[in-house]
Amino acid sequence: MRSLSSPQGLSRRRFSLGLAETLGEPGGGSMPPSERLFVLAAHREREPLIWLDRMGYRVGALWRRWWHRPVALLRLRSILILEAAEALYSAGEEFLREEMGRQVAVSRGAVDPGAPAILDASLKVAVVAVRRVTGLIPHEEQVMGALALLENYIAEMATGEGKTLTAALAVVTAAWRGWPCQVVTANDYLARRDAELFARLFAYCGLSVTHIDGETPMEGRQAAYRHDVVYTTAKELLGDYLRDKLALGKSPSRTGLALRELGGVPFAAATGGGGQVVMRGLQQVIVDEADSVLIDEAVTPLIISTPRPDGSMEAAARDAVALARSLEEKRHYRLNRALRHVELTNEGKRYLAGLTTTFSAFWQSPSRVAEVVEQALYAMHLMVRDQHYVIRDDKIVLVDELTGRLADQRTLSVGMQQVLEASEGVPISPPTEVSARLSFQRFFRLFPRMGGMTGTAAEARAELLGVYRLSTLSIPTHRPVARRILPIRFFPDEATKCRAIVEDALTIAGEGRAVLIGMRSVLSSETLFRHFTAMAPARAAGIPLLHAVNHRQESAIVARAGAVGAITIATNMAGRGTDIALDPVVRERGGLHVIIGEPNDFGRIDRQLLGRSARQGDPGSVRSYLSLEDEVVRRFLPALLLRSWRRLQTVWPRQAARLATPLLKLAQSRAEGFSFRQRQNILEQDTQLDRSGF
Amino acid sequence: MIMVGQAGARPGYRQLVPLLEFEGGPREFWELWTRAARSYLEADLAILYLGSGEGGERGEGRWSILAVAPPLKDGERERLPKLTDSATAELLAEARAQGNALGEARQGGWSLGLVSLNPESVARELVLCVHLSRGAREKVSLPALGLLSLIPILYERRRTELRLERDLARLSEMLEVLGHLLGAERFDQAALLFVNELAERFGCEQVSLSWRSREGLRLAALSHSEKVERRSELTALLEEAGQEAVSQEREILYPGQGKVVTIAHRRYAEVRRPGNLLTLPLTFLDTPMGAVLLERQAMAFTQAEQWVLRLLCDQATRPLRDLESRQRPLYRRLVTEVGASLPRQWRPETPEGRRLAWGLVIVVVIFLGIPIPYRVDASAVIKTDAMAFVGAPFDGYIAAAPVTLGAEVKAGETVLEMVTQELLLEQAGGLADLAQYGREVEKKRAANQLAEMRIAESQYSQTRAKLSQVEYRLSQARVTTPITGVVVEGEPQKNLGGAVKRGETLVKIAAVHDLYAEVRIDERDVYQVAEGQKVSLVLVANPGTTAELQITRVVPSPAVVEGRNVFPVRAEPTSPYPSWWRPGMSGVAKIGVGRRSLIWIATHRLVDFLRLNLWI
Repeated sequence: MRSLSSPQGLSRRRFSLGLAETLGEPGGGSMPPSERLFVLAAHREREPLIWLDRMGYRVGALWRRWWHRPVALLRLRSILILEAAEALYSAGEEFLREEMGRQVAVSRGAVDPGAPAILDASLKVAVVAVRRVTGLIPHEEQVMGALALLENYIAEMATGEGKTLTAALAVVTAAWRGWPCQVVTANDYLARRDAELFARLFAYCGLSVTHIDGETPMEGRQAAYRHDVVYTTAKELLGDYLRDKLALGKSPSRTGLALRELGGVPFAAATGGGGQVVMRGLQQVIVDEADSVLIDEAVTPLIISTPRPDGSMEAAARDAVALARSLEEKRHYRLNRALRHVELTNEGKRYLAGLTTTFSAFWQSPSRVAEVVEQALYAMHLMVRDQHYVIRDDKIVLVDELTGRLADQRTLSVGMQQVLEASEGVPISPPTEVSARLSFQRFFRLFPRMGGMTGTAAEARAELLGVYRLSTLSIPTHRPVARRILPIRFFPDEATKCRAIVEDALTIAGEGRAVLIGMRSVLSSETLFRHFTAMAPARAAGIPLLHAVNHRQESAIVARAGAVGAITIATNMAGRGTDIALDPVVRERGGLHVIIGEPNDFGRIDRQLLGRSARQGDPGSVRSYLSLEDEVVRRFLPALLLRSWRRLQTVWPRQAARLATPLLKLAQSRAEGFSFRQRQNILEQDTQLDRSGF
Repeated sequence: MIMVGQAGARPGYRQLVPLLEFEGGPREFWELWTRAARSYLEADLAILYLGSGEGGERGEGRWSILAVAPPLKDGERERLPKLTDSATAELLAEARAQGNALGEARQGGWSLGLVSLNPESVARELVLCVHLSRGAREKVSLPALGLLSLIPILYERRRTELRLERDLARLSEMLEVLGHLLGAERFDQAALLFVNELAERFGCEQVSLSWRSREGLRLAALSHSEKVERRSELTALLEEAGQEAVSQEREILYPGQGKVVTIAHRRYAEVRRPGNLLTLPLTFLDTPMGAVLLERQAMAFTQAEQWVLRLLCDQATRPLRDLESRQRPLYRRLVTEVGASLPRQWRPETPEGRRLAWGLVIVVVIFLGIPIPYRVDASAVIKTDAMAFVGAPFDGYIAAAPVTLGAEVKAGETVLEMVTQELLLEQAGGLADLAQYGREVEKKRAANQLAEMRIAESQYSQTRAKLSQVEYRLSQARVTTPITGVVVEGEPQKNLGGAVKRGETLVKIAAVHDLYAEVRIDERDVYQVAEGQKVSLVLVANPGTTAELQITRVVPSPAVVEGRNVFPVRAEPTSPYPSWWRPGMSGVAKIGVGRRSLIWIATHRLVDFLRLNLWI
C-alpha cells in the first residue's frame, strides 16, 4: 500500500480516476447495489447440512422415483405448452413482442419464479421465439428436457436429440428471471460454438450472451459476466470464482463491499483483498455433459497458486533423479506397473542412506529421502511420455487420461512436477503455494438452481444424488432407437485384436457404411493406425486420427465421418458435441458402425461412444473388442481371476470368450467403485481442509 | 489556503492561480489548464493530446485531442496536426523521460514545448503540445514547463481531498442516523425516525417505509406525518411499488432504464407525480423484510447516493426487525421462539428437509393415535370342577394301594385297601359269640327260663349288631373312587402299614374333563375385563401352543397375592383343549379388552398414578 504522502505515487494513481471520468468510461458500472452485492451470496460460509436436510433429499428422490412419475407429468406439460405456443405462431410481430415483454415482467417480478405456471408460460413464449428465429419447432422431448433442466433435474437425453436447443430453451427461460445464468460446456470450443449458434435467438429474446474461454483476458471478464447468459467451461468458472474469492478477502461482508464500491481503494485496503470482482453472482447454471463435468472431471480440485521460487527444491529434485538413476530394479525397489505403484525395498533404503550421509540437512531424514526418491522412480518408470505427458516447448504438459486431451493448466503435485521435469531435463518450474482451492463438487453445490444434461447418467445416478442432490430423469427419445449392439469379440492379445478390428472395419466400410473406431489413448490409436498401414496401405491414407488436440479441426473431421466408406479413428472423447451427419447411402446400407476398440474404465464412456451411432432414429451398430492386454482388465480385475482367465484362454478359447462380457462388466464396476471412492476422498479432504481454515 | 505572492511573476501567471483551487470536473479542468498554459507561455497554439500508447516506443500510438487553446469551432478541429506530425519521436521520448521537453517541430518552423503526464498505466498518457513562435521560445524555459506539470498533480490532490471529505461526511452522517435509530424504543417510533432522517439528509419530499405483513407489505411510516392512513389507494400503490422492489431483490429507480420491471412504480408515479423515485428492498439473511421508497423532485438519485442508502438500509434492517418482532402478539412470538430454540440438529433449512421433518411428525402422531388391539395380561392356573377326596374310612392301617400318583382311575376302581386282619378276627369272634348266644337262647328256651332267654336273645342281637358293624367296616376296607379321573395327590403306597385316622384324606382325584382356567387379574385392570372377552393362554408346560378361551364369570371377591389384590376370573375353553392339560398348570393369559391408542398404552399407568396420588 503506497503511502498517500508521496506526490508522484498519488498523482500516478489518481490520474487514472480523473481520466476515467473525463473519458466517460463507466467506473464500477451502473448496477443497482443489491445486484452488485449478490455476488457475496456465493462466497458465504456454508455450514454443513443437518441429517434432516440430507435425508430429505434422498427421501424426496425416492418418492419421486416410485410414486410421482415425473416424466409422464413433464410430457403432459410439454404437450400443453406446445399447444399453447401453436396458437401464437401466426401472431403478428407487435403482439409477440408485447407478449414477451409481459412474460418477462411476470418472470422478473414473481415472488417464486420457479413456480410451474410461470415456467410453462415462459417456455411457451420461448418456443414461439425459437420458431420465429430458426423456423424449427422444438419437439415434445426437447421441451420436456428444458422443463427438467429448469426444475433442477439432470435430464438424460440420448446424443443427437438436439440437446443444444433444449439447453437454449431452458437458458432463455431462466435468464428472463433477471439473474445471471451460466451454461457450462465440456470444452472451450463448444462454449464458443454454442454461444454463437443461438446468438440470434438470444438477441430476439432481449438477452445478451457471450462466452468465456481460456483465452478471454482477465480485463474483459467483468464485462463478459455482465451479460445475461455466459457460456463457459467449469474450469474457467471455478477459476473466476476463486479469483473473486481472493479479491474479496478473508471474510467478505455486504458492508465491506459496499464501502469499497463507494469509496474506492482506501476502503478496500481495510477490508482485505483487492483486485476486481468479476462475477455477478451464482444463481442458475446449466451443465452440458453433466456426467463428464460433474463426475469425471470433478476429481481434481481447482487450485490457484502463486509461484514461490525455491532454489533448494530444484536442487533436491535433481539430486533425487540422480539417486534414482543409480538404483537397481528388484534389488533396491519394486515396481508394479499394473497398479502404478513403486516402493523402495529395505536394501534400497539402506543403500540410499549410505549415499546421502554427505548431503545437506534436507536429506538426513530417511522418510523424506524415501518419499522423494520414490517420486523420482515413479516419474522415471511409471510416467510414460506421450501417454501421460508430452513435452512441448521445453515444458511438460500433462495429458488427461480420461479424454486423451492435453491439460494445459494442470500440474502434478508439488515435488512431483519438479522431479519429472528434472528427469526429462527440461527447466524446472518453481514450486507454487496454494492461495485458494475448491473442488468442483463443492463449487457446483453453491448454485441455488442447477440443471444438467447428459447422454448417459444411469450409472452415475446415485453419485449425482448423493453429492449434488440432483435427481436424474430419463427423457425418452423422439424416435425409437434402431441401434444393433453386436456381441463382444475377444482376443488374447492386442496385436490380434488390432488386426481383427482392421479387417472388420475394412469389410464394413467396403459395404458402403461409415465406421468410427474409438480407442483409449493416443498411443493405441497410433498402434491401430500402424496396423492399418500394414494391412491396407492404400486405404490407410484416407483415415484421419482424432486426438482431441484441436477442437475446431476435430469438428470438421467428425462432420465428415459419416461419408460413404469413411473410417475414422478417434481417441475417446474427441469430437464430442458434434453430431455425425450420415450420408443417405450410408443410412440405407445400415448406418454408422461404431467399434469400441478398447473398453474404457467406465461403462459410461463406452456408452457415450455407443451413442454416437444410430442417433435420431437412424440405423446403426456397435461392437466392442476386448483383449487380455487391455488396461481395464489388467488394472481392475483381481489378479488371480486374470491369471486364470489367461490360462483358460490358452486351453479352451471358446469358453474364455464367453466369459468376456461378465468379466468386463466386473472390471468396469470395480473401476467405477474405485473412482467413486477417490472422488469421495477428495471431497472429504476438501471439506477437511476447508474446515481447518485453508 | 496558502496565498501565492504575485510579485515578479510573469503576466500569464495569474491564469494559473485559480487552477490551484479549481474544484470542478476533470473535463473543464483540462480545458482551463490548456488555456492557462497557452497564455502563460505566450504561445500561439496549445493542444492537449490523449494517447492510448499502443504504438509502443515509436510513439505512434492512437492520439486523440482532448483540449485546444484557443478554442476552435467544430469544423476546424480536423485541421489540427497529429502529435506525431508535430513532434519527433526523440522529442517525445525525451518528454516522456524527463516530464517535459523543448525542441523544434517537424514542420512549420515552430518550436515545441512538450509536457508529458504519464499516469499509472502506460495505456493512457497525456501530452500537452505548445506551439511557440520564435519570440516566445526565448522566454520559455524548462522550469516553466515543469511548473505547468505540477498543476494537475495539485488538482488531483484537491479532488482526493474533496472526495475524502465527502466520504467522511457521508460516513459520519450514516453513523448519526444509525445512532438515532438504535436509540428508539418502539418500532413505529424507530420507523418514523428513520424516514424523517432520510428525508432530511437526502432532500426528499417524502420517504416511506413499508414492512412485511401477512398480505405483502404494509405501510409502516411516512416521513413528516405522525399517523399513517391505512386504506387509501395511494397507500396501496406505495405498498405495491415496495413489493415490486422486494420481489426483484433490487433497487428500483424510476424513471430509469434497464431491464427492471417498474409497472407498480409507473402506476404510483402517474397518480402522485413524485419526480424521481428510488425504492430499496430491505432484507435480513435472505428473508425480505420491507422496502423504503424515496421521492425527490429536484435531482435524480446518483449511483453514490444509492450505495449510501444501501449501506444505511442494511444497517437499519436488523434493529427495525427486532423492534417489530417485539411488538407482535405473544402467541405468535411464542411460536417463533419455540422454533428458534430447537437445537440446530432439528432445524431443517431446505424445503425437502422441512417436508421430511413434518412428514416424520405426522407419521409419529398417526402412529401414536391409531388404536390397536390391546390385551391385558395376567397369570392363569388350570383348575377343574370335578375333584374327589378319598380318605381313610376308619382308623386303621393301609394294607395296599394299587394306584400311584398320576394314574388314571375309573369310577369304582379300588384305590386303597385297609388292613382287615383285626376286623376279620373280630368278625370271627363275633360269629363265635353269636353262635354262643344262639345256643344260650336255645338252652334257655329249652329250660323254659323265659327271662334268661330274653337276656340271651338281646345279647344275641347285640352281638349281631356288633358283627354287622365289623362287616360294614370290612366292606369299607376297600376304598374306591367315586369319579373317573387322575390321581393328583397322595401316595398311600408309600405309607403301607402306616396308621391312618378316620377321615384323613389320602388320595385326591381330579377329573381331566371340564378343565377351566382361572385368570388372576390385577385390580388395576379388572374394570376392563368383562364376560365374553377372548383370552389367549400359554402354559409354562408347553409354551409353543396357545389356547383360546372365553371369559365366563368374573368373580367379585379378590384374593391377595404378593400384597396386591387380584380378582379371579373364570375362562372356559372355546375349542377342545389339548389332552395334556392338567389342573394346576400355570401360565400367562392375555385378554383382549378392545382397542386403545399407543399413546394411551404408553401413558395410562402414569396417568393413573398421577390421578391417584396427586389428584390431577
